[in-house]
Amino acid sequence: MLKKILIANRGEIAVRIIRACRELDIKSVAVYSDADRKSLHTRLADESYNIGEPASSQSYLNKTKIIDLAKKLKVDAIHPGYGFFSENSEFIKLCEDEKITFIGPSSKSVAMMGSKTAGRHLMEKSGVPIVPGTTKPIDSLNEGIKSAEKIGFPVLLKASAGGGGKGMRRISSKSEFEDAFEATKRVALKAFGDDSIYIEKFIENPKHIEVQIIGDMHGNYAHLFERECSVQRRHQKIIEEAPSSFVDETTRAEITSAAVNAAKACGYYNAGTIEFLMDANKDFYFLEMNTRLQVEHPVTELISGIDLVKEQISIASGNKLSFGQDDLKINGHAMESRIYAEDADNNFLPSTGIIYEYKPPTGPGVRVDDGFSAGSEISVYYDPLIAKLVCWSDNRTNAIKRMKRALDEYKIAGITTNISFLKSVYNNNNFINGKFDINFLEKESGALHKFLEKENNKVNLENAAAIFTAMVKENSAVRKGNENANNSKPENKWIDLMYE
Amino acid sequence: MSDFVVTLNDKKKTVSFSNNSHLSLDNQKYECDLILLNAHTYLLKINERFFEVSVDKTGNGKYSLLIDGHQYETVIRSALQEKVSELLRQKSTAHKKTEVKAPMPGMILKIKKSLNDKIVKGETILILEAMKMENDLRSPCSGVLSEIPVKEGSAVEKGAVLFTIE
Repeated sequence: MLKKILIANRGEIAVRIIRACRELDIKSVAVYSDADRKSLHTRLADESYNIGEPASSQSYLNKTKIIDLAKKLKVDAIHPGYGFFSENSEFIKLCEDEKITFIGPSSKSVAMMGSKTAGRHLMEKSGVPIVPGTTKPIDSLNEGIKSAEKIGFPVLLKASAGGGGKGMRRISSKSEFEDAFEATKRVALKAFGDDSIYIEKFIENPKHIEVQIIGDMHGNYAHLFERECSVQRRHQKIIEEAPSSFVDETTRAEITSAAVNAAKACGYYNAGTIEFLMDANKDFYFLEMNTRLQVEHPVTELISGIDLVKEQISIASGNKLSFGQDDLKINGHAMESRIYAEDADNNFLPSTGIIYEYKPPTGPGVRVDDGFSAGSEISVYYDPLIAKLVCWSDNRTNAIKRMKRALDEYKIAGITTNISFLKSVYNNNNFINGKFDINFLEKESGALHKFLEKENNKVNLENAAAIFTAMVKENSAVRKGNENANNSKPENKWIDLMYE
Repeated sequence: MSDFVVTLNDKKKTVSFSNNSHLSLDNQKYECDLILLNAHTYLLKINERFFEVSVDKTGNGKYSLLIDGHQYETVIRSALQEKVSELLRQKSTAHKKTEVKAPMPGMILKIKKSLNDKIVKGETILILEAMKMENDLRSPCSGVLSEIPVKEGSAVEKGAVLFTIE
């Protein structure tokens, strides 16, 4: 087994991995940029090292700094989390050359799947259904327009090296093509350092269904069922659940075996996710493969009972999968809400600032994976994800009720968050009845907004706010009186009793 | 004891105290208690219900509150101050200028409108790149784009004026 792991990431996922290391008696090493001194991962790890300026390129995305540190500290392995180096085959190759175990797949599998066009090509060959589109990157504007017309508008322009929906654009007619072509290339270059893009047919109103797979280095594979991640804004997921209420047993059998085939096709080991679009007829199309741990892995952990991070570490140590496909069954229902620092009223614009008070929910069936505490800063340099709130219950209806309860208890003061917005989704009838697809937020924005307005204009809360403000202003004596009380030590009656 | 006017969500509420624990809000009587928990948190009891309130004082009688997951920005003035500010406001609304400031530091990626363009509420004026995302900054009102002190490619700090609509 591995003895010391460097976690080349930050925020909630770094904390998640450190927790697994702790439970496995493995030493954890955290790295942090100047902007992350007050983040949670730095203080939970056994050792923490500053790796430079806030900009990712100077710190979390600096290959040399991280590899040099790993060598100097003689760590056995690097866990990349998600994002950053997790799907960077060059970085993985460096680890392989330096004989540092990379907790993830081989550089070869990542290179095969990392380019979305190569991945599509491989899937087509292995009999996994793909969305009609180009299997090669498009080089020129003219070639792009020609392909788009052949596939038929509307189409999607996507970055070959992309993921997580970044740099994706819908084009409904030829006239929009030129602007979108340039913009997508620009975003792709900036976000992924590679401006190659490709075209896909735009599937109307699909659901986003993905399958968690896992494999070891001995050729054993298993799937851990599907997740539904259709609630998205700007093509980024905000609510995920497992299982999907839309997928029946027959479809589940088909989609999970397609996913396992996809993993086999690229000689994959470690945890991975195959993403599909599913239309109203339950026909599904391969979207992309994520060769890493997903943000939303906790919902799968809660319904399967498998700790995916521990399993990743075990696989990277050369062990066989600790379970077989027949050991797994779906237990209950789990939902995840991504808690973002963003303003849902203002086009989901990210918000920044210092969290002055932080209190996550607790109680039965509630799990919070977070990366910050009171005093931490949400800076402009990174993704605005603060935490993931995950709730489990025996069925979907009860999981939703539990999620609503937990969101009510969640307290984050100092920055604008999407907590109220999430509540509006869990109160929406179409969401509750499972009638939603990836355009849910757009279609329901009116209804969601109405709910929020009503909530925010609750008379008893407004009254409380007004009374509070007046009392603080008028009655500063309250503050003084209590501060004095806090300073005087409470008497310990037990001591008196002992000497009686 | 004194009377206050509290403004929140564009509404005004009048609070008058009878004593430390009894007050009336818009002529409705309440019994209240305020208990300090820590530097930022209070418990407020109104009649039979407790509320946990987090507060950040921003100065000048302005407070930023979090109650039951809802954010409120409140402003408190004495009854007299309120009258004065009401008069001042009436004067200034004759010529209305709306400044839009950068909500976060970032880089101006693209400016989509030109000086003196007629703008409809909700139109995108410029794209601010921050937190690895392209953010459309839209006009909060209709009018004419009268000032745009930033250039494409320039870096801006949080709170910097990006454009003015008149």
